[in-house]
Amino acid sequence: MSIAQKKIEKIIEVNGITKVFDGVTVIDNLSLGIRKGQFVTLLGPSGCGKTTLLRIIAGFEKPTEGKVYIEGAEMTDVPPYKRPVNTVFQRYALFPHLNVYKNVAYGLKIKKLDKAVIKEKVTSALKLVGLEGYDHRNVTSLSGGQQQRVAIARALVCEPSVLLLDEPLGALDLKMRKEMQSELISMHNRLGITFVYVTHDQEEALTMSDVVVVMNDGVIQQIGTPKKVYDEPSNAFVANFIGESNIISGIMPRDYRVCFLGEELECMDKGFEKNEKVDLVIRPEDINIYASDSEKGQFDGTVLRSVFKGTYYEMEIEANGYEFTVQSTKEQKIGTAVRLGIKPNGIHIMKKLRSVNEFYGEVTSENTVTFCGGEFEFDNKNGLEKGDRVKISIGFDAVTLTDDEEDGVIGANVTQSLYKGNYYQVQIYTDTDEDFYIDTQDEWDNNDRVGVKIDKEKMIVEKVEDEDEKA
Amino acid sequence: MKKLKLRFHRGYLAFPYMAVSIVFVIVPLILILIYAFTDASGAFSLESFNKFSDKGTWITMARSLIIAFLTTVLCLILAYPTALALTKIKASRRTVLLMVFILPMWINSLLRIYAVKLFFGDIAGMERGFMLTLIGMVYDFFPFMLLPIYTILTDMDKGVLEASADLGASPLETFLKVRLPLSVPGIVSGVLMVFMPTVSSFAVYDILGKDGGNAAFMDGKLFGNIVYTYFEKGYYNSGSALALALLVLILLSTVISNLITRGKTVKTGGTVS
Repeated sequence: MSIAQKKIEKIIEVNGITKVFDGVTVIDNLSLGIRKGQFVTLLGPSGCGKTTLLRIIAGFEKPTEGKVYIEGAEMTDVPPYKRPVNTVFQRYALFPHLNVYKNVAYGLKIKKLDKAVIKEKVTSALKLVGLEGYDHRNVTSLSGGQQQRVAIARALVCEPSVLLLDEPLGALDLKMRKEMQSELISMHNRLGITFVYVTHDQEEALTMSDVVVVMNDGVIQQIGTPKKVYDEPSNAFVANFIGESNIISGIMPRDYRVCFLGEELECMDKGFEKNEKVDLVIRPEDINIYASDSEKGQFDGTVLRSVFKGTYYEMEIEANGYEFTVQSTKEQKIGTAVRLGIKPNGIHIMKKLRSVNEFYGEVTSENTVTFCGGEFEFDNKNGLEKGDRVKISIGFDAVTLTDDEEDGVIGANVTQSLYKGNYYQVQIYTDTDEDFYIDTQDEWDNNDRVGVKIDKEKMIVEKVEDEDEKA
Repeated sequence: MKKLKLRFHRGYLAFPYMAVSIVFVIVPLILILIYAFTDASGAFSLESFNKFSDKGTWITMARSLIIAFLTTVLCLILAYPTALALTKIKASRRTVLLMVFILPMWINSLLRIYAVKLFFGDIAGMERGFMLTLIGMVYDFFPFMLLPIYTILTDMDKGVLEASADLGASPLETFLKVRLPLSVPGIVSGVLMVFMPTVSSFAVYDILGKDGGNAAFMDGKLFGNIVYTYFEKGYYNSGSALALALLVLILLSTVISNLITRGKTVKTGGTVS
């Protein structure tokens, strides 16, 4: 297949996109291809860069680096009004001085189409979104759901190659949202237009899309079908963000075997190094509950909590020091002793993102070293001298977080807190834009301001000879 | 027994202004009405309105209207692009630049007019008269046009402008079809704030104008000057009658502009239901 053909098949292609706002990197060297006719969802927490990516495709933002192709043509520097895409905005952005008909007709009038043609197209677009007879209504008098329908009709009537939707249902109530979701799916099926849909709602992403692109910190974490992303999350972030899950640290002693919480279980994964540290995902519905005297199962546990969720019970069951979240249609009374069983296909193994924190810094005195904007004490076993460039390795367990920022050597913000079995893995972001991973017994809330202390016994400081190594 | 409680009501906050407006607005208005419809002895009379049988009064009024109209149009032509340019500048620098335009308002109006006289008259060599009066008026009232337009342009929902571009409209089309129509309330409010004081202004003419006699149509007293002269010389009845006519004129222009903006002061952007 020639390059040109390949590009046409991919109706949108972004290559090596980086976007920096006021020194903050919102999107980091991101590449993505979107095939014609697909319903693609950009999913991630707020601030992950998904809306910025959509705005770069629409042309409202220029990427700091990288290129944008639409229908095979480079569009990086093409202004929005010359791009073959239309957008449905989060806050609808209807023209308040125009009525419903004129709002929908806006794009067609710009194209200077014949009046009769405009009338025909607008009428059928309004019919498509279920707003027949609303032509002369003032848009500000409409409900949120109706306004969103006008916004969708206004974009669709232009017959774009790609429809971009920026959290279009975010401002609607739950019932209206569900209704609009199924309408959008049926519109997509009927029209065959490519939809690129931005949302932070994982349920919405899983129910609506052909392909889900999970993003965090301006980087794609995983691309896949909703089923694949749910069943085989590629890392702990995806597993945690999509659906309920138990995320536990473990070790792979060999292929198809995994040790965690003091037991060795059979699994379906291979290709890891011997005794490699891994993260396990076990979905709550993949854990079976047996009677306490049963032969089946691997863990003895006690029911701590049980909540009825409409069609199933969600229970917290403690076993081997870990609180499993378990879903079952059969209720277990609180305090009941049970056996928990996990089948090999219920265990998903993921590579650990990082197993040690590494930073570069400089020795400032006999027993202090500076990095991440702070001066830390260390054990100078190797006779390092003042001014030496050094690499500092810090284990996840060597860091202590303090409530009061003043108690730590440096301050940082908590960006993520994942429960990993019998401890939390907390990710923090320092004022010098660096990440720390910390294993701790305490749960920290996102955006908490914390102080950071490091155990000097567990800090490895090595001299860096080669200047290039720093990079 | 019920305790007597003094409850604070937000309406009470309006009392100080109400007191001021009674003394300085309502009472003078009533006095003007009384004086306009009485003669020197205090008896009811329409004598004061005889001034309107004089052709000169009508000419003065026409002249005032023309100057006010020209001032308003010139202010609008200068202020709209300025306001538009200000919205395109980074917010941090915008405030500083806006200050440059607003700063003259901190200086006494008379001083500003004298500054115009000094600069255009004494330094640039322009003679007192219609042109200099117009320049003085525009300089004096420009900020009143700029501010409301600037406010409406900066407060405008950027999403609406992006939506227009998204639907294929070029920057010019977006301006003509979205930005301009949505800024009409700001324009109307600026027009009123410039037109109303200029039509009744008298100080600018006093310092920058010239009475060219009957031959020169545009060089002559303004309506405000006549009213001022009557009051200064103690002809309260005639002065009041003319002031009342001016008041009616301004009232009419307000009513007309309200008709223009009716239903246009809409919120931009969507609503959450």
